[in-house]
Amino acid sequence: MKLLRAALLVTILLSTAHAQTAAPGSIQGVLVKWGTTDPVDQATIELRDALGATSIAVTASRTNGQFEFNNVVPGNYRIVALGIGYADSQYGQLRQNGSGRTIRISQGDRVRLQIGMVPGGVISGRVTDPNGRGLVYANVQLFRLAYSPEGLLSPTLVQRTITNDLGEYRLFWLPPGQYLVNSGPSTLSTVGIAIGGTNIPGNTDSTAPATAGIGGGRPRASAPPLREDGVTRFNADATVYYANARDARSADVIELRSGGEVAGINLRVSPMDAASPAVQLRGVVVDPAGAPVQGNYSLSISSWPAPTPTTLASVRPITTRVAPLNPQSVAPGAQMYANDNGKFDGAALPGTYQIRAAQGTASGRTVVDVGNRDLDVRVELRPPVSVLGRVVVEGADTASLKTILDGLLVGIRTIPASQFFGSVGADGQFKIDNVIPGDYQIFVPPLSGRTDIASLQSAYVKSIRSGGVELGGGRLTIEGKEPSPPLEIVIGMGAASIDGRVNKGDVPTNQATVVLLPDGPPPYRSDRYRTFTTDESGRFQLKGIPPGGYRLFAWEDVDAGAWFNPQFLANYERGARPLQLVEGQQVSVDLAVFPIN
Amino acid sequence: MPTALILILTSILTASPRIQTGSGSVEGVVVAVGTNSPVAGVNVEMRRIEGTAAAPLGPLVFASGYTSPGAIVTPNSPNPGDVFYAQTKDDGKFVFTNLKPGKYRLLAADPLYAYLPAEYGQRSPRGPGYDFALDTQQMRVRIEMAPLASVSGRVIGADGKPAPRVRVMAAEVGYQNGERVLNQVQAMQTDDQGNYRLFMLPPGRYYIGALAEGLQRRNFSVAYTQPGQFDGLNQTFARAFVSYRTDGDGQLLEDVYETVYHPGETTPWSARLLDLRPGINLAGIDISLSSGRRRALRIRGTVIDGTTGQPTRATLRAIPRISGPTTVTPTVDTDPTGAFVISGLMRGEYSIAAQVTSGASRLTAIQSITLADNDVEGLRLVVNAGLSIPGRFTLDDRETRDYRVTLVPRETRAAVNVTGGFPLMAVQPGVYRVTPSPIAQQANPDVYLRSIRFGGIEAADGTIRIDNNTAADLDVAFGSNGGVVEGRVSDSQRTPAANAMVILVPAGSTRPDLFKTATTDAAGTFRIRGVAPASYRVYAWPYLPRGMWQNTEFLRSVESIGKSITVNEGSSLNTELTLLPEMYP
Repeated sequence: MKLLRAALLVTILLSTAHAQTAAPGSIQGVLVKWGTTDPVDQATIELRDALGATSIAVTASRTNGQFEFNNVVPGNYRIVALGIGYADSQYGQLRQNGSGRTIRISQGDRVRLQIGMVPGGVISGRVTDPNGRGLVYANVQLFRLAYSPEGLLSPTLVQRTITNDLGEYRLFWLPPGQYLVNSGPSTLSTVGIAIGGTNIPGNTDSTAPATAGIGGGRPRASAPPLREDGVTRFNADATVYYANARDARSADVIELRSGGEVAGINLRVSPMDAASPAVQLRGVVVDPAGAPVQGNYSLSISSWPAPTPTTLASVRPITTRVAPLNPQSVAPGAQMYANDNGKFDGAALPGTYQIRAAQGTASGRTVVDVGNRDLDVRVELRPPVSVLGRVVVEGADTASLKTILDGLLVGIRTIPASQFFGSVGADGQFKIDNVIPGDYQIFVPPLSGRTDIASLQSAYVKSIRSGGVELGGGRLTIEGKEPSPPLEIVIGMGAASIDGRVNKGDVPTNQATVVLLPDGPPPYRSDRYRTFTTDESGRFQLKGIPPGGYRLFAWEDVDAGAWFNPQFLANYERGARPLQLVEGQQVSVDLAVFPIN
Repeated sequence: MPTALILILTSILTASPRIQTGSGSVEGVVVAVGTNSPVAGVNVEMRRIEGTAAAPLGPLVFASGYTSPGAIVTPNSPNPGDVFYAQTKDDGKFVFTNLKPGKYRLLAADPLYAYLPAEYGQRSPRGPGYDFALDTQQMRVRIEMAPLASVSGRVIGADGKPAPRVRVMAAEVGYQNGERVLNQVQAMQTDDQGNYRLFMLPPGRYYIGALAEGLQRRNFSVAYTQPGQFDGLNQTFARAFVSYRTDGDGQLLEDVYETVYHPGETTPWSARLLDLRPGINLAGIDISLSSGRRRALRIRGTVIDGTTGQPTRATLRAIPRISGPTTVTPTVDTDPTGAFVISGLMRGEYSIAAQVTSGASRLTAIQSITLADNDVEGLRLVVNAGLSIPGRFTLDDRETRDYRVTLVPRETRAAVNVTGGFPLMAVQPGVYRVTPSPIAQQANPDVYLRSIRFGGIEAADGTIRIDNNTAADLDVAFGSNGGVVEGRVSDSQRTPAANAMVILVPAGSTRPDLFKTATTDAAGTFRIRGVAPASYRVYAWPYLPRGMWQNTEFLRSVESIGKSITVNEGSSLNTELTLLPEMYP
């Protein structure tokens, strides 16, 4: 008995009552191999929402490569095709490794389209120890080249896999392009490694496996840091980039052609002591009164200046065994320990680190430079402080002033993640409470590119001063020793705005990427650069731009963040539109797009 | 005055050693099981776990990292001086000197994970080690490490072509409540050529299963059981894996796959059982998916609130009757009108469980359904507060509140247990195993479970059936005067057998709490308390995989070699046992 099945219906969007007056549309598509007319059959095609996050309908392609989606509720969508032997391919890709475009389905539309399937390439190799023995369960990570607003190489992770017991790995179904590969220590201490996964989300595990801890089994014998000849050596493995580079900047770029295979991308992971021996750290944590801290406290060490967890150093509190005050409250066989007067020790390889300690609400940190001599360290805990300040708005009448200050926040944030906020009162005063010592960037959230609040569209941060001195880049260091002088943030009402159209010849460019950058090289402050994606009209609007000198670019298809790479940008400087914006200026531009070659 | 803290000793070690004075020493060699060749580069760790009055254990060192005040802090290392590290040279030898008296444990682990970690005193590579006493002696030890095995092959799809991105699992045979089950030891994916490799497998008996998860799967979590762990890591997924294709007429077909076991069986027990010996590398273990492909089916229906009669929002889960090392239990929410669609199901038996949580109350329903070749429409599930089962716990015939009971459903592995004191609430009809447990951490070891009665009738094997009309009390009775079985195990040479497993198997019942196990100490002696008065057979084995002693088939095969004993209330029985030869399952 043959089963008659139509393509899947769109069910999720039928719940809003008033949507029923709009006649649904349909999509007739065909899958072909990229750059040819050869059909691709038995591939899975997903109709997704405009963000690409939710799958709305799924179908498969026939022998002639054809597929359809019927009863599509009007809206914006992305279409993703998944086929054996192919990289994830999206409708609207202009390059084999570009991103796709959204498609708009209007009332009653019958859309015909074609999707080019990108042949999948392979990168493979082996991860070994210095003796050539394969490392099992080593993380292998694949990166695309990308740049940060600081102008530094900041590769984007696109896939992860692990090695087998022979140390082999295989990354497959990759779009062509330039890649970096790195590998790190064996991941046996973690569970739930994700393999695969390009930028397109999909069906993921919703139940992670239970933690494969040691409980119930046996302890794992490991080789701890050994202290020989008065010097501590780590037994940890360092992350290495292909081919034998410590960081991304000195790594080899792997060129993968469409459907090609690059084998022999081997990585040799070595223990850290191969580089240099570690030195010992001896420390004490003191309370705000200067006395060694008593009781339980937390302690950690991270890299510096960007405080990320590090495997190059470790610290731990020293403890002594004590008799329990209340024996009944202690489980039989358990032992009791107390921190020994705030003393801690540790070891670190040469470099700069930040050591943080906290007890209750008090916290402190110290930055240490580790060379080749043992160090004595002192961490002073301080109660959290408040940062006071005042927001002054230039050139606004009383009514606008009230609207601007209403709901305004001032924030300070560190890398990676701590953020603190204070509300601005009607008199412009603000107070940010519970700030712990650290290095911060000051920002005013609604003025960092949000253009939806009408009263703020001409507002911008004109200056940030502390104790009368302009803070470069809006950065502030708080140690907590004495109160910092109050901040003065001046908001100007003369932000400039740019609107315009992106064209290729006479034709407006759909989903072009428009980028506004200030003059000069990176780093770029977050409120000083903008990006925008046009729609079919090719139009764009940028608001809230601080006065100054800028350059405006538009690309038909470009990798996100490529413009932060000075070498990439150099190819386009001559075609960029320079702009000198003064207070309150509104500029209109017709911009020629940089086409893909 | 330092603030005292409560801490619990754990077993992860990273401290650096400092030599302390003592005079004991341990000299050893590490060899591979089977070949007996020395193993170089192995990390050996000796840890003192019990001090003496003259040489107590030292303080512990904490792990670094953030901890919030008041949290239980677990130290990650005993004091240097109570832990020692060594690494074997090419001759496989290692030495520890200047050891203080006390009790120790010795562990060997290969940093490259080519061998199963081994402990001193193990009677089997999969069994536990034990603590040994060190006085002022020179001790010689021999550690055998089992090399780990690998299995590789190719998965062929239902279309006859190599199948990429298919989950392949190494599932070891284990025992749970006497039943044979599969424990997932490792799961990996096939690559673009359909090839897979499963590795770091401890010696044992395995089935290799393949589960197609469809091309939409973007992330894959590698599941693995660390060598040295004994339980598998079975996974449950809440979203069905559907594959899409077109047939010769261009019609869209949705498929769901059952797990297929090498070479191509959907029932594991009919598939080929692989006996992985230490260090073996089995290649060519191919699996064909064609027998596992099924049409994807749907169930549509509504959830009704039994207290109001109106449709209600709820969460539903479809639990297959047969579960495996990886089980898919599609979970969906109803829309605001109480209507639901569960997709990605296949032919077979399911329990559909619905749950509504509003505030503190919980309404549930569970219904069995058998899917054939077509979708099911109009399923109505009526959630209700469930039944309330009254009862009591007694100790020596006096009522007590020191226990709780868990009703474990027997028919579905993934359904929700009901736990608590009496009356038990929100119980749905079904067949359950009654599992009582003491609330206090340290129970009286002489207490034994006397009987479980439901509606005045003794529950055979501790299992009860609850219907919609059930109006019965559950009486769980304990006695505090359990019997004691003690004795000594010797091997055939009359030498005391240390670290042996003694197992008491009840003669007339299969109620789980009646099975008792103990491990002999260094002198070969054992003592089991809280034994319920009954007839038993006693066995002493070097090692038996956990739970196997409850398996009916196994018990039948060893019935004749057990020693029969009868235990009376409050009595103490002393018995001499001879170590039986190891029974590899």
